[in-house]
Amino acid sequence: MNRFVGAIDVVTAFACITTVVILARYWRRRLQKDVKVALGMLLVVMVFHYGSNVLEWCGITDALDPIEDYVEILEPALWGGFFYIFLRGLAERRLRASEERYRTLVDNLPQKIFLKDANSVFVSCNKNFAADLSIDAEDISGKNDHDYYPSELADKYVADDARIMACGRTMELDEQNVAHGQTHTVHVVKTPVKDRDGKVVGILGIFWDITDRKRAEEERKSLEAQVQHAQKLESLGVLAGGIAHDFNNLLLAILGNADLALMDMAPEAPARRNVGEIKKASQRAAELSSQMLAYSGKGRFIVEALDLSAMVEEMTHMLKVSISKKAILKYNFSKNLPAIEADATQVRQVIMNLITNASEAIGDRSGAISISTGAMEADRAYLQETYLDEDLPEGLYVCLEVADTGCGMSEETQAKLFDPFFTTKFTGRGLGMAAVLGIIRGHRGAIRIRSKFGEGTTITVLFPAIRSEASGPADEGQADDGQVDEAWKCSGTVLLVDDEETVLAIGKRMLQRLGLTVLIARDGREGVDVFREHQDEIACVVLDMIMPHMDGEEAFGELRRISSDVPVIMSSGYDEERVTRRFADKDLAGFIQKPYEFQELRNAMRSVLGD
Amino acid sequence: MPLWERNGRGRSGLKDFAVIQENEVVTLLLSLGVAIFIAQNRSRLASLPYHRFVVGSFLTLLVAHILTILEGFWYGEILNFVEHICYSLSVLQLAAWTWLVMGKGVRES
Repeated sequence: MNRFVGAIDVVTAFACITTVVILARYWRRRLQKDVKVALGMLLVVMVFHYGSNVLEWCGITDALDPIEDYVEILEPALWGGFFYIFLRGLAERRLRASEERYRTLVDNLPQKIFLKDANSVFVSCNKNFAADLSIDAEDISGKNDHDYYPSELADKYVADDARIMACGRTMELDEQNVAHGQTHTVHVVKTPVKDRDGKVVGILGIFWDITDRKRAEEERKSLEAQVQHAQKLESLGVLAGGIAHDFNNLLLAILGNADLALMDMAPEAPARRNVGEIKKASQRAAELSSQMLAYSGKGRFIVEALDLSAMVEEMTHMLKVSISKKAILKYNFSKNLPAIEADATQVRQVIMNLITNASEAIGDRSGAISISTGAMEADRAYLQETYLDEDLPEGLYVCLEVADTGCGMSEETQAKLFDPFFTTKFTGRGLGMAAVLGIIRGHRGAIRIRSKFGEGTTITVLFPAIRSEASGPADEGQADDGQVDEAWKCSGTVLLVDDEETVLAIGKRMLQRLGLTVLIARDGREGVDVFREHQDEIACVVLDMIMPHMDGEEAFGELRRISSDVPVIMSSGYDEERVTRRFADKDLAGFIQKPYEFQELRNAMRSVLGD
Repeated sequence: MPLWERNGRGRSGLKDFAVIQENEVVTLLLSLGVAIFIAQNRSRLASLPYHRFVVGSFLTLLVAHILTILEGFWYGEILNFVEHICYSLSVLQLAAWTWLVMGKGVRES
């Protein structure tokens, strides 16, 4: 039996040596180094143990016996060490792998993440955060906000941290942040980090750039505000147009009656002066009505191709006397401007309003008002910055710029600038800029305001350019020479069609005063019936544009069907251009703008019926 | 006679089987301690490549240590023979493990 034991010991010793050889031969292979060392030590002890057994069995020596007893004790201890080192290495590797995963996760997040201790000192951060600060992530440990941010921002961050640590709750906020030297808006979530006892020991922060989102939100809000503003203006425009329309009918009655009364009165009659005052007041009311129509964008009357530079140049004297004596006017006219299609009177009103406002903005101080004209290719981006960007087409626009060095406007004032009845002046009516806006809207133009409180205002008005040759402004004197030709009279029958009783009453009296027989009708349908009945005797029809049941356009068509040659004068509170355009191919005999005076009616009838 | 009285050894180098020796008891206790450690961490040790070989190697050694004690009381010669076989098996398993892990280049998991 002992012989076999010895043989087994030889095999065991040989196996030990073989293992040592394998370990030595493949030392570089991927077992952890300290595991290999522990295994090596174990094998050395084993070699000694079984080697000494073999030597003893062979009878060579038993001198190692006493040592062998103690070396044997080492064997389980080294086995324990081997397993322990392996498990420790395994734990370390797992920890490293876990850290690696965590690091990969955190570093690949687009958000910026940081960890601070209870003193607001950075402990760690992810790569994105470090990249923002242009540092390596490892370098952040031990630094604080003051090392990287402007002191104001750093103070705020530290104060936020303190507040979170005090209340122990997560905080979310939008704030400014500096990355690569540029300021961004970021959304920050800061969470208190607590230990096992619930004590706050730090702050975990995560934030991301929302600059683009904020900008888009602001643009959207701005767009919504513009749309709302446009809708408000549209509603007010409709309201103003409606009021002006009814107002004109009333004014027609007042003016007409005043005119007739003046004609009937003896020159020395005491009431003549009073009636004259009534007429003047009515004329001023008609101007107001005209402004309201202008605001509604329905007040374009005489449209023609105009040279804007020439028009402003002609107004220079009038402008000079209209402004404060301490204000200097500077002109910068572009030559060979493309023409615009506009109502000269209304464009003058725009210029006057802008210049007057500029002068009032300068007030009693010294200042300058510069007026420039030019042409520009307006793209969508530029048009979006303007008021009235109601899908205006991109393209060539003629611009008028009025800049002053006055007091400027606050944002609040700018927001209400075009609101009817909004004024910053003690005596203002608040219709000037509203009318400007309406006129520009009526001309399919745009207006751009740049103003800063205390630094002056620049207003740019854009009119769409046209290709035709521009003419000089119309001579206003031709339209109304102010002379009453009371001598002209005629005879015949006129059909007056209007839905307004007062208009019918005064119109009838005026026409009768001209020697005409008057038939009246209260709407288009009735007008057609009356005309059908008296077509042989009716020499002319005065037709209102807007009426119930059958409007002026439809009634005109019916009249033409009955008689192709009866002269029809269209009457409306709205603009002539629109009316004449609608009747361009229909042989309209004339147009008379409400509220008209006796003389205007006489001129219209004279032009139709002749001398 | 004390339990761990040392006895003389014969020419074969084998002990005279009468009583157990103190170093054998210490070795057994240490081995049992390591066995408990292994039992506690068996799931983690399972990640050791070819862990059955290396754990088996140790457990075989533990059996050998137990037999070392037992041989002092019963069937001394036979148990001593089995003990040496266990030593041999233990080393062979360790050699196999070393070869499998390092010689074949198996990665640690």
